[in-house]
Amino acid sequence: MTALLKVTDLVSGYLNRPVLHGVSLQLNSGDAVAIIGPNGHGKTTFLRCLSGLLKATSGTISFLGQDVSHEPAHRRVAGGMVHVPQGDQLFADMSVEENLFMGAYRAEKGANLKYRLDEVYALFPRLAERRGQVTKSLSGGERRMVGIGRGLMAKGELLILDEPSLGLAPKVIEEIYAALVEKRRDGASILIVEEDPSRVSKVADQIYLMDAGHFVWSGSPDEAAASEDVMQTYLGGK
Amino acid sequence: MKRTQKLQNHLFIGMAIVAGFALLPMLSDERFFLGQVILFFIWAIVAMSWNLLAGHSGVFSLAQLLFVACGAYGVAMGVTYFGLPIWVAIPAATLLAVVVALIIGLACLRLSGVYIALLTLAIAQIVHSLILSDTSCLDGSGVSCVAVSGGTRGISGFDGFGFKPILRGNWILGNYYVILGAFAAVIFAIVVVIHGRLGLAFRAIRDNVGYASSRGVDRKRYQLLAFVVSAFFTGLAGGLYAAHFQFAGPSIFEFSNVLFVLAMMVVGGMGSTWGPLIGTALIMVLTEIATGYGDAKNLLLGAALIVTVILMPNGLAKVIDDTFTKLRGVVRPKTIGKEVRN
Amino acid sequence: METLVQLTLTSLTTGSMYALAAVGLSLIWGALGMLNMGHGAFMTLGAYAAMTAINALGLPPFLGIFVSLIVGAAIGILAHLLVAKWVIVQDGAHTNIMVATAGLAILIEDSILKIYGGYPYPQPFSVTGSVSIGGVAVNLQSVFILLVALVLVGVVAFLLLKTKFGRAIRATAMNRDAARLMGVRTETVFLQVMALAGALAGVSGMLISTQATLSPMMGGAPMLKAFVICVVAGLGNVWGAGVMAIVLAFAEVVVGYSIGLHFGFPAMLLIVILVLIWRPEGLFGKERVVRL
Repeated sequence: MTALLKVTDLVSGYLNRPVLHGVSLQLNSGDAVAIIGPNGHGKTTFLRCLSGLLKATSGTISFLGQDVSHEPAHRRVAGGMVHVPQGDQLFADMSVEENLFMGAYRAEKGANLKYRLDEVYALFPRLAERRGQVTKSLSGGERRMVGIGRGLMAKGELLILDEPSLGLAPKVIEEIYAALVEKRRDGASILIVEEDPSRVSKVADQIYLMDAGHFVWSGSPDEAAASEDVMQTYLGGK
Repeated sequence: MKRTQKLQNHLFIGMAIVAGFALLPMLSDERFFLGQVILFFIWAIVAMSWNLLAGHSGVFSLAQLLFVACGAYGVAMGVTYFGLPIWVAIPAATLLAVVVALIIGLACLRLSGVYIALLTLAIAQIVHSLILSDTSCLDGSGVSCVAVSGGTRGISGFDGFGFKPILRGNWILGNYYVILGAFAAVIFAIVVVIHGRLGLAFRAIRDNVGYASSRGVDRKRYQLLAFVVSAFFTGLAGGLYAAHFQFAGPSIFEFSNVLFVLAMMVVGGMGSTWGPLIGTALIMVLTEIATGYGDAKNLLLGAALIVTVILMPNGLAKVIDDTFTKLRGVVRPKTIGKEVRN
Repeated sequence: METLVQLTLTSLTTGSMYALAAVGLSLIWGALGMLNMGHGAFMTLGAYAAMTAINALGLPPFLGIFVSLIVGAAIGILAHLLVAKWVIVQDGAHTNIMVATAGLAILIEDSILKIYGGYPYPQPFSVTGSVSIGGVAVNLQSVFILLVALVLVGVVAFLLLKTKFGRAIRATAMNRDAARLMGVRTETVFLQVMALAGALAGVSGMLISTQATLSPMMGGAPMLKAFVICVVAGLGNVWGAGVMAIVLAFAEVVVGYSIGLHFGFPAMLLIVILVLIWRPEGLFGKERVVRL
């Protein structure tokens, strides 16, 4: 087992407000790891640090055996780290297809983008119908599909997803997660952030619980289900 | 520190500054020197009012020098065409600036941020170009045509403060103390506004419009108030300028002069209390030196603006403040985790 | 009828020159989030560069356009590397960058004044002759300006809409963070945009100077017009800027013709203010200009 992503003692935050206090995590190739925890406790900050949108104060991030802690964001993408940000962050005035092509911005010359596009359309057939439409006119669910599809277009080594269920209706969430499960079956490595463990259990092999900038618990989805008291303490009753 | 305590401290600083300037003529009554200090008073009023608007209220208007022009032309025209006594012309001209500011403010403050800057600059520059191209003939003779606005030459030769017959050789002292009085009144007023409830509301809107609005602070009303108050002081400065130099011309608000005063505010420190005063003194001294070196004034202004913005974006006031804090041994929290923005 | 044709042609010519400047300004605003107060100085520099190349280096006049294009791009790149790059990452960048680029503008203009003096030079490049269109004599110079502007706007439109390079620029303008997550080197995009906008400004200045003369402050008025155009169109709306340039030029030319030459621009501004009172977000503004 080789570590795809290895984070050691990561410290970061905004201006003079520290958010992450020494966070470590390992994700092996072919694994899916989920980070859960209440809002405002550093999950998104952690992901922004991974993809290089935010600089780390100390600690290291190694990806595919290389220290990328000081690499700029575009290098990390080129190296295969793909971050699907929270709230989609689509290019609002571009069409669905243009957004998807942007996902493959770092694709090597001669890559078969048509094929990748068809793969995304096969996964999310609704996007094929809307391919020419400007993304700001789409529904929330469709936008999420574009966001994830755009991430898939990069054909990266690791797909990082920040709350793919955020703000969606239960039926749409199911659709999204079905797609993720399918990707898992193809052997994709995924790092996913969600607020609670119920959804990610189908996808993840390992769950980390983040609270106040620390990982306070980790285990398999089964263990998570078994330790209801831990979940209750940090996430509150259901 | 409590707000009232802070206000008191600043008022003490203000008193010390005014007292110092009141005694200055005892050290030197050389006319050129006193003239420069008078000019300092005028630009300092303009820079401090601009800072009240741009630095504290977050309205980056580029029409400030237009209000100086309103004050100056108001006095020039009031005295020349209507025969007003100077002591009536100055308040009237100040009022003119306020009315113009009210109109411009109502039109521009519907917008936000850079749009305000763009529109105010455009309005000021258009008035400027209209005056430059003014060919209306006042006397109609056609040969020695004098435009109503004075055109490129401006209006000059009208009566000033009128101290010459009273004080004779020392007439400049009369001008000096009158303008010092106005300067003192304005800086005290501005300090009271900045450190009072009004300043607090201004800064609340500057820092977070959404939050301020949700707390019942009406953005447009307060920004318009800041715009008009700032124009009042600025217009007054313009009136004093015209009364002292017995001149009003388009050079007052040509673009390089806008940058001249902008540099005073920016180099001194936008959003500070005394920064613009420091900036005014520094920029005046530097440009005086630069003018001696092959008229390098504008080159110096350009360089000063760029260097300040890049190296000390909060101006000299912040640098001085930080130095004092460091000397007192107060440790500020270290900045961690810098957001990558490019 | 003849007057109408002439006025239309003049508006198109004038408008196309403004469009070049306004489109660049809007591009910079969109991608970098900065208002370039140095745009007028870029235009002046483009005009002087062309004149110098033709007069001093003996270049064929036609090549003057390319000189202004290249020098414009170069000053755009320099402005980014020396000034903008350091300021756009600051807190309060919106105001600071205006101040810094205004400083750059006066630095450039004063340098030109020191080198060439205030004497108004004629632009040596000109197309002489006229053709008759529907019985109206049309100045070839105007036709030429129109063609150059059309070609350039066409090239920019093609770059932005049809190339990967252009898509990266648009992506950066729409969502800077997301663009970086796609692997776009935003720093490179900023440089490209500054070069592109600088080149457009350079050519625009050169074309404007063929209609009047060169002087160190010649960029000031056209820059103000470009500002006003962008305000009406909504900053960052590149296509809107192009269209508004023509519309406002028409207003300026018609008022200038019927009331008096120096009332053209004030009338244009008055229209703009009225439009803004009616629609504060600009005519094509989809994004809200007034936040809250």
